[in-house]
Amino acid sequence: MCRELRQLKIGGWLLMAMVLVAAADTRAQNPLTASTTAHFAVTAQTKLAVSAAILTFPNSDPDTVPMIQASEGGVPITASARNSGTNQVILSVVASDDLLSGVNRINISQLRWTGSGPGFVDGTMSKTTAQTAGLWTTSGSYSGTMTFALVNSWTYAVGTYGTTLTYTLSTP
Amino acid sequence: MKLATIALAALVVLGLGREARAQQFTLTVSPASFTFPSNDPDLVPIIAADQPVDIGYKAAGMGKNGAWHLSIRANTDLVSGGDSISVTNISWTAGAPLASGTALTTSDQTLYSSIGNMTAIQHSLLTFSLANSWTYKVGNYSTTIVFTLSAP
Amino acid sequence: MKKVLLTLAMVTLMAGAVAFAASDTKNLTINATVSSTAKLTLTGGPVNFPDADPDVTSTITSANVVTIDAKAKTGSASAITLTCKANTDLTSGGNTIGIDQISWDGADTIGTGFAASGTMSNAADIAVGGWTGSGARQGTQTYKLVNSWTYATGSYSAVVVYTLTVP
Repeated sequence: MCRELRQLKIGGWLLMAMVLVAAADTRAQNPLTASTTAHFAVTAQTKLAVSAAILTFPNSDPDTVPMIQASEGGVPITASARNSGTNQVILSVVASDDLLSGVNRINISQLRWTGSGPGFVDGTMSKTTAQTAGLWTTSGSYSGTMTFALVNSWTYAVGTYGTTLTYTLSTP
Repeated sequence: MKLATIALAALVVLGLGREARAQQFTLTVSPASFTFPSNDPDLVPIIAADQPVDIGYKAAGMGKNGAWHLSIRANTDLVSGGDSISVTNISWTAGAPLASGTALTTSDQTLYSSIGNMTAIQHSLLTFSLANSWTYKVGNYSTTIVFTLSAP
Repeated sequence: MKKVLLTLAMVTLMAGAVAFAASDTKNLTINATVSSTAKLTLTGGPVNFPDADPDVTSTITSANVVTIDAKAKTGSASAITLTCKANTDLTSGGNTIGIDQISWDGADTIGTGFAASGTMSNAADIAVGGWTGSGARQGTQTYKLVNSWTYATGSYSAVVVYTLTVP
């Protein structure tokens, strides 16, 4: 009887230990995932680069040079913009005045340009209305060249003429 | 009879206990979100995230030869309404022993593989970068980057 | 009616206000130089006077009409002059005909300013035309020679030099 009781106690302790060991194990998740969120806000932005500060048109014989090219050649331009993709990106240009030399003037409409590169267009300068020099429909960086020419004429009075062009790159 | 009964129960319980001993994975990611700040693409062609991501991982209960691995993927491209930026523009550099990557994808890429158990949680930092471009449309883009700890 | 007018005004106001989310501007300076320039072109020469009976043709008119292009770039108030002067009398060997026996009738074809007429000289510049400020002018000269029985036979010639002066 005592021997059986002793065995019972041992078995009970053994059983309890097994149960305790089993209770300590957990069923883990496989696979286990965790995440983080990446955010990136893109705002409307424009950046204009005009790779020339001055253009000079030298004196020329109107009979042999009816259209005077600038000594510096074409003007490289890079127009970069981020927009919503549904609005236009517009590059415009306007002159501050006619070409002036003292009291003498050359009408600014005598200054023309040809545009090369995607989106760049030809035009005639104005001092009253900004003229479109480039037009795009979506975000990007667009490089091109504006090549200016001045109509030559025997009617121009002697002088050193000047004016300032203002370029504006904009997107809604 | 009672002793035999008790021993049998012990054996059954012991057997049950062996089947319940599975791998134990621990995985933490912090912070819950981070940001790529907007920058001039000409000046900042590669945008660094505003903060690194801390990965804490531990594999236990694998047994001596149990294989496991840690992987990374994105759920989607960076999305803002109907516009998207390919998630492959995101790269990361990781602290050892995790692997760095040049292009995040929507498929799992292995950061680390090993066998056996780890005795403590290992932490590594991941610094994400985004290739910048003027072609990105205006919007608030986001994606979820998912880390997975798993065993075959 | 008042409500409709108010709505139209609001729409006009909103449509006129175009705001750009982003813009960038750059300036470009344009300089152009116009220098004093003179360019003279004569076409139609040489001027020939055929032989004629002085009793029938007291004044011989040359069939050749000289066309003159006088182009100049100068100050807006600057005076431009075009003159001519013969080097010598009409000469044939040892014989001469006074150069003042030659005259011309002038006419404008582009612009105005050519002298209507003139008499040649080998002693002084004779005005052919005059203008103020830059421009391209064109005119003609029809030359005439006083005929006479006193002329010795021969082939006479003289050179006339035209001078365009631009300040």
